[in-house]
Amino acid sequence: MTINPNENVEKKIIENETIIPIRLNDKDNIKDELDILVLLHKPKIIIGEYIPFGINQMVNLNNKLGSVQKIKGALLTSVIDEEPVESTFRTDEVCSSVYVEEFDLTNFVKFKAEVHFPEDEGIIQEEKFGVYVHEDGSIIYGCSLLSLNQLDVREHLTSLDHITRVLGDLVEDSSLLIQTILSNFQNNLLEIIYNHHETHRNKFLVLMAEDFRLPQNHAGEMKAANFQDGEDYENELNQVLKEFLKGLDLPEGGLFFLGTEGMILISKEHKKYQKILGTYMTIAGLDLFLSNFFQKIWVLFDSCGEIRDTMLSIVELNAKLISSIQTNLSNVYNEIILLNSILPYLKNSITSLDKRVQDLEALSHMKYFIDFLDMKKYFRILERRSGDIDNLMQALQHEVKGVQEIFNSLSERQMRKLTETTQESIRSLENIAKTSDRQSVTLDIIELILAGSVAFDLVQTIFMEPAGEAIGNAFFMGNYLAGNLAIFAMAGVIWIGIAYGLFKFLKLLEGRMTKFLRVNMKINGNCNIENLIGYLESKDIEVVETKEDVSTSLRNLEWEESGARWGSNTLNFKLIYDEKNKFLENVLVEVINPKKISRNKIIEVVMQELVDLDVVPKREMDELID
Amino acid sequence: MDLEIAADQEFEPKILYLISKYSNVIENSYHEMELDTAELFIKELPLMCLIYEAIVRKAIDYDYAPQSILITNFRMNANISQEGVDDVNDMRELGLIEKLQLTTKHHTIINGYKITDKGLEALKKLTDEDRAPVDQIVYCNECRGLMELKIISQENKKKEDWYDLGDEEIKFVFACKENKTHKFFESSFLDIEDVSYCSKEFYLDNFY
Repeated sequence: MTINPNENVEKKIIENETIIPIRLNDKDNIKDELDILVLLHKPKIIIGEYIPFGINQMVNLNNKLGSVQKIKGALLTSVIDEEPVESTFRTDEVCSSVYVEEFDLTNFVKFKAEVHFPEDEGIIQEEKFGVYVHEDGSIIYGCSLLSLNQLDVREHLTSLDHITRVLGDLVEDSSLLIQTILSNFQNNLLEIIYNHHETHRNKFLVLMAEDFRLPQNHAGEMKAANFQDGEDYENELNQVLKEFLKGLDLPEGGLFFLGTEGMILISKEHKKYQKILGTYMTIAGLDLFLSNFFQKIWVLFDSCGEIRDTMLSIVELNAKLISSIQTNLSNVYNEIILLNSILPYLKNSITSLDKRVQDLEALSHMKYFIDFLDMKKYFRILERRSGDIDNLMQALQHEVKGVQEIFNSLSERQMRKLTETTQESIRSLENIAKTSDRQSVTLDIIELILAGSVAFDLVQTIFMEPAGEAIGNAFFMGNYLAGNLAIFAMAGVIWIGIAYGLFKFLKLLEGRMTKFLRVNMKINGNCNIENLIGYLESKDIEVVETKEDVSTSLRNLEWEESGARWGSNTLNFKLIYDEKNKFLENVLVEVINPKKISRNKIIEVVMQELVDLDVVPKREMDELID
Repeated sequence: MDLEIAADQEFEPKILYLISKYSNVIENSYHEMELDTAELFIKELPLMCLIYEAIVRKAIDYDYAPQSILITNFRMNANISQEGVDDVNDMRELGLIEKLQLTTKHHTIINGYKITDKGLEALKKLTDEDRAPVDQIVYCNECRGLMELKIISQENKKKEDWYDLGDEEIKFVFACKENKTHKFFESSFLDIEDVSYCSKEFYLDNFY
């Protein structure tokens, strides 16, 4: 037994035409009581939009849809595989199924899609539509309504009010469908242009029907001009057209209405208009896209302005603000880069459309219709608008560059402030140290006075008042004044003795405090790496740290040295060099409690050794110190 | 005052009454304090929302249909009444309301409407019976204060913290100015109605 899946699909569709009208049972959730003014016979809905494509995106789409595979058709979902290494996955979200009908790997693909998006309770939708995607970015979705609350099932008459609900549904569902098969790049573009609300993007709508009925009027007597009544009929048509522009009575007896975002064609011979309508829809779709593109450009100009205002209004930058400005600037940059990438696609689309508009001239029997649509003029306007985008994008890039420069200059100013603050702090610390020194001298004087005071108090306490008289009698022939002077001199001697003792004691304490000598020799120059390694091999290296990246190989070595040339001192050495670039950065020497050793001596000895071993050329001492 | 109204200028006076409630001076009007210094206009989208509410609450016998609209800086589908839009244009032609066009910070163009003195005169003909169904929408049934129409989105939800927007992108909410935390109702203006239907794929003939 052989199974032909295509046959089954067709059979089901044929069944739908007869079964569904009964099964749907007029289910809807419309709150309003609709006034039926226009009924359409065998309505068809066509929706057009523009999305930047190009050959590579086209090939990618064909691969995604499995166009080249023998067995066509697949279920599609918007779910992303977050665990690529897992062997299985679960999902209950299958949005649509597609079946490729015709394709050219680099040029176009034509497929039918059935969408299964969740609807409100009681609502039954069997939504199948055809999708045509061309490499020039034009996308056309189309469907024939088989059943929709039809007033007369046999005649396939459907009210325009109900069709507008289907239009709303299809506009959103077609967005969801195409987004599941577009590349990430294209989805990102749509997300940026439509401010993360790309599902609700506007598209150009076309409603086609073979005939119409007017329950409140005689359809046969109605001309296109009668529908432009400024009242009920015009309002009814505006639900599709948005803004009624003009109407045309077709030679075969049909009607045509053109609006700002839609068209309605009522004709039994609608096939002969379809090529023209398709081209017009592509131009109109591109027009809608460009309008949103322009709006996005203005929004980005605004974002730049806001960032600039923020920077100019603040007194000083802080870490949080810097981070927020950087984030905003990088977002603007990213969006500009993505928008810029659209420009070549736009140019290709314009060239392709130009050819299509010119091709229509061959349809001389349809000239009245092409002239009515004023398509050439419409296209030329669009062509000029898209050319203007180049200039605007360049201006936007200059704008964002200017904002970036303000940010850089503010950051530099901030860095300078930081350096100044650090230097100020150092100066302040030096002042504190000097003040401390002065206080130390003052304390020494106070010490001296205190010692004197103690000495005098001591002498006075020992000898008391009569002592001067007694000494005077004993040694200076009763001259008690000379006795008192002798006591004063004695007190002075004791004062000097105590002061000297205190001074010595403090010196002793001071000597016991730890001292520290630090010499940082910034070499920052090329070195003979073999000789340097030879020099280091002679040392007893204790610590080795290595940092490797593509361009550098930094070595950080530490060792201790002592010996006759350093006296009784032990020196800690830290040396940093880049082995890959043969570059010696610096030599840091630290001495704890240095004894009879000076900074100059350390530099002289270390440098002499390096020069003697031909590691680095001779350098002046001033060049080496900070 | 008699209005000379042509056949294509007929309008629903209840819409004029709605505009009067949210624009120029009228008894018990909206934002009374602000009116001392500046004229008050109602924006087009909130007006469309008011008309939609009037339709679904059977105050006006009009139709509406889903249409793509720009709210702040993004697109949504909303239930727009073309008859309502047409009435607004007719009322402008008759000089009953004035339109003010302005640009938003998102570079979109919006319209604001306010009733004129001529419009206020015309409203005097409206009976209490005509006004009652509109009053039921725009006045709080507890304190009888005028309801504010708030557009709450993810952008301004912190400012309107009395309302839990949840994961919704945007919502039109009627709230009692005096007691909005307790008395408010959500509009289904942005909820697009579903219909049951069945469709079959269709391709344009000879498209390329």
